[in-house]
Amino acid sequence: MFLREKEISIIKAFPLLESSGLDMPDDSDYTIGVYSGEELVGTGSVCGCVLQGIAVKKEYRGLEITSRIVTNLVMKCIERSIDNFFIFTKFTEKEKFISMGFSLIGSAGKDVVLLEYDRHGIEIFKENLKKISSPFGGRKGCAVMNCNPFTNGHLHLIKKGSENNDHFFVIVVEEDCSVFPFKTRFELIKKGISHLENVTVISGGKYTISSATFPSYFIKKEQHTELYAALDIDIFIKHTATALGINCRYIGEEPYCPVTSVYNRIIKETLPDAGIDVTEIKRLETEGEIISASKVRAMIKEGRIEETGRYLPETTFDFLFTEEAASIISRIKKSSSRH
Amino acid sequence: MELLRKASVGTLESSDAIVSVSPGKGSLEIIIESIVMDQFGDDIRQSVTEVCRDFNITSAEIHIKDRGALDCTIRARVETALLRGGE
Repeated sequence: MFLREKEISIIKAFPLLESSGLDMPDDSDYTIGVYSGEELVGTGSVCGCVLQGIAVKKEYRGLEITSRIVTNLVMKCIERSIDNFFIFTKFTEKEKFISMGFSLIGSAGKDVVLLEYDRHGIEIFKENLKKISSPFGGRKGCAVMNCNPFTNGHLHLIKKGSENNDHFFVIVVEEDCSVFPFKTRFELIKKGISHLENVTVISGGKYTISSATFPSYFIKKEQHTELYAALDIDIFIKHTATALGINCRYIGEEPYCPVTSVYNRIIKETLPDAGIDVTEIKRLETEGEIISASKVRAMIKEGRIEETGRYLPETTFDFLFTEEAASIISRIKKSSSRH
Repeated sequence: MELLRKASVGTLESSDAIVSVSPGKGSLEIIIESIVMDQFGDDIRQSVTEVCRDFNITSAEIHIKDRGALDCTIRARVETALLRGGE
């Protein structure tokens, strides 16, 4: 049988995805179609560093069309210099991709799984965490934070963690989907907590709230939030928490953001069963107002930078007046996104 | 021959492999992932090393994702990758 592969618009793949019980991938930036004559018999997409929406028409299964599709997508990722990439797929499909050399790193119940291409990816990540954690003994706590930017609220949560544990890790979301870039967020946290001796700030890499483990944290579509949250937390339990030796995860109470509040709920439901305590910290208030990074961004957007001082540690506040901050501030003023 | 850029060849179909090469840091680094690693891992490494020697490649990072390719296939894939990535 003669089959052709070509790049197509994701819209064309929709009927085939639907008949295979798959949703249209969110934010795909490359989609291929495999054609037999004029008939579309297979498709697959790349969304950032995640391959998804891989489907083959029923009558054409068993002809290794899936491996053709995956090969095409893998070559596209390599061409784009994406050094490690993932497959997000249904639980029932996982064996097929494992046999192609992908390895399983997490699952959300019996629904979806995440696999990665570089077999050593997660192992290297874990080895590094183990090295960071091994000098410290006793009870270890952690929080996963984006800190866009670092506020007194974040500082308050970290202080609590630092007081109630022998050592506390702040795992910073590395994905650069927030208006404050990762490097800046990371540095502002480090500066803001430098007086706390038992706190270490580390990068979450590709395995903590990234576009692979938790795409709906960054894109607005909320229908899959529960699934993605469960997947992210599964990876946290199996890999991050195990490697760091975490006894307790801290979360901030979330009255505003619906995605984060679902995430928090699932954390509270799942972590205790895995032997990890959960401590929810009430939001810090100042003059009767809750402190939040989104409020700070809103104030910056409205040009009220001076007023953000009451929400921010000096280190973050001072940063807002640097040259480096100027481009971030102008981006906040233009943007309408929640990140 | 010297490896100047990244190159990837092959497929993930059964009995084939994807070979990715990139300029190295002064030595040959060969990373192999194979579904038959236990049985043939050493043979694959041997073949890759030999092809590199034939091409006078002494500095490269070579990544093999193997799905049970025959020895001749592995050698052919490595040769093609080196030819595409080097001059």
